[in-house]
This record gives sequence, C-alpha cells and structure tokens, in this order.
Amino acid sequence: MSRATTYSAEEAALREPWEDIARQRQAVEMGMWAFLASEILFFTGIFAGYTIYRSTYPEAFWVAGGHTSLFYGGTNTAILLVSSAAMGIVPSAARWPSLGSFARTMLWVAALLGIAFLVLKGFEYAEDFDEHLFPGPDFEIHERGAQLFFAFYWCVTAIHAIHLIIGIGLVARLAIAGTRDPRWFSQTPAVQATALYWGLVDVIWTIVFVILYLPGRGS
Amino acid sequence: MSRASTQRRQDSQAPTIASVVRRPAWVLLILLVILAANIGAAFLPVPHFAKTAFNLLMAALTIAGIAFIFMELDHKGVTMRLFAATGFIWLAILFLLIFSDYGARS
Repeated sequence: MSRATTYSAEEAALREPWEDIARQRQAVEMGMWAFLASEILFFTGIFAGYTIYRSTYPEAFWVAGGHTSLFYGGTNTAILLVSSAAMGIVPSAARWPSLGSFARTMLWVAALLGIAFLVLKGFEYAEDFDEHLFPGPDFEIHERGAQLFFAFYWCVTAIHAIHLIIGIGLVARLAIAGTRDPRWFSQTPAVQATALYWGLVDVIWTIVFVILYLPGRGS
Repeated sequence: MSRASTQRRQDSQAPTIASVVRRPAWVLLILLVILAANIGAAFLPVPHFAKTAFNLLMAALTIAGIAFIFMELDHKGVTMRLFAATGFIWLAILFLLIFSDYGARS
C-alpha cells in the first residue's frame, strides 16, 4: 500500500521542526496570539489618535458620529458576531472526523457572512459619498474637527475591510483544503490559527462600532 | 489496533452537533442582546460621558465573550492567556499615558 493511503491524520498535519502535533499546535497558537497582539498594537495607534482628537474636538466628533449610518453599522456588527460564533464552533468540531463536514460548512457560513459584511459596507460607502461625508472641499459638516472624525472613519473601516478580505481568503482556503484532505483538516493547527484571526477581526470591529457609530445619537 | 477500529472508536466518542453548537449559540444570543442594549443606550437622554462609558463597557463585555468563548481562551492555560493579554496590556499602558495628559487638561 502506498504512503499516500496509509499516513495518519497527525502525520498529514505535522510540519518540521516539530516532533509531535500537540507541540506544533501549541506553538502555532502562541505565535498567532503574538501576531494578534501586534495587530492590536497597530490598531491601538489609530484608536489613540482618535481619542486625542476627540478630546480636542468633542462636539465636532459627537455631531459627526451622528452622520454615520447606525443601520449599516449595527447590522454589520450583528453579522460579524454571528460569523464569529460560526467560526468559534469550527475548532471543536473539526477535530472529530464525523463532524468534519459540519465544521467546513461553518467555515463557509463565516466566509459568506464576511462577504455580506463587505457588500453592506459597499452600500454604506456609496451612501456616504452621496452625502458628501468624504473629507475635502465638498464636505457636508462644517463643524471644525468633523473632517478629522471622518478621516478616522474612512481609514479604520477600510483597514478593517482589508483584514476581513484576508480573513475570507484564509477561511475559504482552509475549507477547500479540508475538503480535499479531511484527515489533515482534523489535526492541522491552521484551523485554530484561522479561527483566532477571524476573532480578531470581530474584536476590532466591536471597538470601531462603538467609537464611530454610537456617538451623536439621541438628544 | 487497526486504523478502521481507531476511527470507529473516535466516532463513537464524538460529540453531537447540538452539543458543539449549544454554548456558542447561547453566547451569541447574549452578545446580540448586549449589542441591542448598546444601541438603545446611545439614544438615552444622559450626559455624553455616561453614554460613552456604558458603550465602552458593553464593548469590553462583547470582546470578553468573543475571546473566551469563540476564541476558546477559557480552555487555555495561564501562558496562553498571558500571550493573549499582551496586546490589551500594551493598549492599556498607551491609554493610561494618553489620559494622564489629556484627562488632566481643563
């Protein structure tokens, strides 16, 4: 019998230099958390800038916040939470061969919800352009400092969208590779790493939603 | 033990789909309620500072739910949790320094 038909799931997922899959999994997970910490630090710089300018122009940021679309922001927040829940199921299901296809279905659910998020974001951006909410000479709000708020809005949401696009690519790649080799899928640490990345995308959006979409509501 | 019998043993120990889904589904429900509460609170006639503080508190709860349940931090040991916390610790240090200046300005 050829090696291709006799190798175990652990052998399929094991990579050099690790000697066993448990160590490989732990190393990948730790490396992923270290990467996520650097990502948090990256976004922290933007959030710190936002905080400083908001303390400098509190009224302008409050007024500008009221011009973002709570409908799109809230719906997208709910969509990402559902996708995170779907992704949260994947690592615990994927390790059981009998639940492998269910885990891959959850991956596709998460990826499709990610695409739905981007589609809604596209509609929201179109609406923002129509309302002249892009910083520049035609900017709609005349309060001093409001353009700064929308400079943060465009930068943060665009950078987040790039992260989401990368996440969708990683999730789709994992689902396709897992369908091709279900035994590899049941053991590979790539499942955990992808789920962690997806979680980060949701964590960042949770903060983005609160600082960009909730100010300026009510009286 | 043959590979086929190992496979059968694994399948017999495997949890059901319902048991794998139950906990994330409950947490999702709670997080959606928190989201609704956060949106509702944004319209309350209270001072801006109070609204922002509440919104950030709800965001922190949501992040805890995502990190501990969806990212499975609740199953991990101290070392892994420490790794996971590093980003937030740096964030806290940066904001402490920012507020020690801007928070003290009149």
